[in-house]
Amino acid sequence: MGEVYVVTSGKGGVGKTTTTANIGAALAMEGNSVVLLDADIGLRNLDVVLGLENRIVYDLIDVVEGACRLKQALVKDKRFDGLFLLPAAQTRDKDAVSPKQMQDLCNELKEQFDYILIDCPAGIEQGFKNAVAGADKAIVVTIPEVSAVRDADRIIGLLASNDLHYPELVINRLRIDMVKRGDMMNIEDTMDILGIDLLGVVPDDENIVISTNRGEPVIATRNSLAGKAFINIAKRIQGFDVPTMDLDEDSSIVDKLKRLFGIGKK
Amino acid sequence: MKENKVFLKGILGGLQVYIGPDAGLESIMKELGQKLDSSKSFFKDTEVNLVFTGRELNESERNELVGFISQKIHVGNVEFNIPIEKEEAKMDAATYSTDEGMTKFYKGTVRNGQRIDYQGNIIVMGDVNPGAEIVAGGNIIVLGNLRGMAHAGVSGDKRAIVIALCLQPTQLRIGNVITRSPEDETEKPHYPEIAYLKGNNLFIEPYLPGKIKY
Ligand SMILES: Nc1ncnc2c1ncn2[C@@H]1O[C@H](COP(=O)(O)OP(=O)(O)O)[C@@H](O)[C@H]1O
Ligand SMILES: [Mg+2]
Repeated sequence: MGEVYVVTSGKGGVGKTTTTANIGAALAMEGNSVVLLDADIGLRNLDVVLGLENRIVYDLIDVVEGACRLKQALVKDKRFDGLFLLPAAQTRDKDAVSPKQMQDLCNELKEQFDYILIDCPAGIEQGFKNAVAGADKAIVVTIPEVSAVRDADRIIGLLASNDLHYPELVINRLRIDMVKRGDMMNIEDTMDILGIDLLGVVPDDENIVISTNRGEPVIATRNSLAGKAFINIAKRIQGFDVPTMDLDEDSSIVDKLKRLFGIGKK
Repeated sequence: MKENKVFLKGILGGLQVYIGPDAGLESIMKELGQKLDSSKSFFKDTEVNLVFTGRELNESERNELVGFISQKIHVGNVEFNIPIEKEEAKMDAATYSTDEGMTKFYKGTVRNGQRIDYQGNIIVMGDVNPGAEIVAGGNIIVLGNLRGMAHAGVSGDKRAIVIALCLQPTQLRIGNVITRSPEDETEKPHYPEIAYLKGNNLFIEPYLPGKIKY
């Protein structure tokens, strides 16, 4: 039996889709069977991020309405074996699917896949309710900004009222340089408000923009810090104990040298 | 006191309804309806006892009133035509007080968008995050960070207090006094603090056990 994770945030544009695609790809890379379910009906883009847009024939709504079989709607990824996408309908309304139907769909997918990741739409309306309906666990994505953290807090409360009590947190787009200058909330500030377990921290990384435009997950890019972070998160999801990586790589060498010569702080 | 008015007051386990000597049934229902609607969430899921005082109500008026109120809240025990003096005495013994009375314990973090309403005292064993609201008839004690809004003594009790291990609310209200936190973010205190009213001013001080003068 597989496990269903919903990836959610409240606020839009913080990296839910990026996180879903990359954790999914990393899980598949490690030999798991994975399906990514795009619940952002009417605003789908998981397919674009994965470069699979032109392979879509059927979508999630077709499946729940019985217009096709589940298997027909699953799009196989071109790079990662074992990775599939169940696309959202682009021209339908969010109300075209009900929480009950999502539950049934998730239960069916659980029998075939190790991991089911649901890319949740922004907001707290019907789309959110649908996306969480069939989930066993939740991953909350935020960026280190006050308004995003507020929304994440709201979402954590709503998850609890949907029986998803122990969500885990991904802090995305952290910029060490800004944190050091005191211009960005640091990890502690964020954890202090949200008070849930930390699944991982993903640095702000231009490789994400580059790879997204190419329609491939950033974990396929060598030497990308964000890619490494997502691979680590996937490992933690599988139960491995992976230490948090040093996001401060570049400067730490300089700092070490400075310290060696006694000119740095501390 | 206006002669045709209706006043509501929270008492232990329910509400006291004072009816002015000239208030007709229709205006009573209208006033009551508005007042109950505006505090619906307050009475949600609880049985509310009603004590009517002031003008005497005849049988048909009583029946209509109870029927009307039952549509809005879950009505428990109802007493009619309680003389004011007797009622006053009864109130003193039974009012939700800031010294004793019912207390709600909330275990966990109260998050953005969540609200805890209670007629008595509220103790939160966790944080109250920005965007969350705690509204109590009596005192509020937060065994954690209070960063949201807290309103103690919501029915006008000026003796109500707010204590938090870390008191940095977006807004703090006691009785009908409202204060907000200073805009210039000062370093958050690392000791418990207490907020209380003196006259119409809200004071915040370090909470020192045994030195309570409020
Ligand atoms: N760690 C990151 N570094 C740089 N850009 C990022 C990062 N994460 C996300 N982005 C960019 O932010 C934008 C929003 O991301 P997306 O995953 O679509 O958010 P959501 O699904 O929450 O709306 C995209 O343009 C994406 O490329
Ligand atoms: Mg998205």
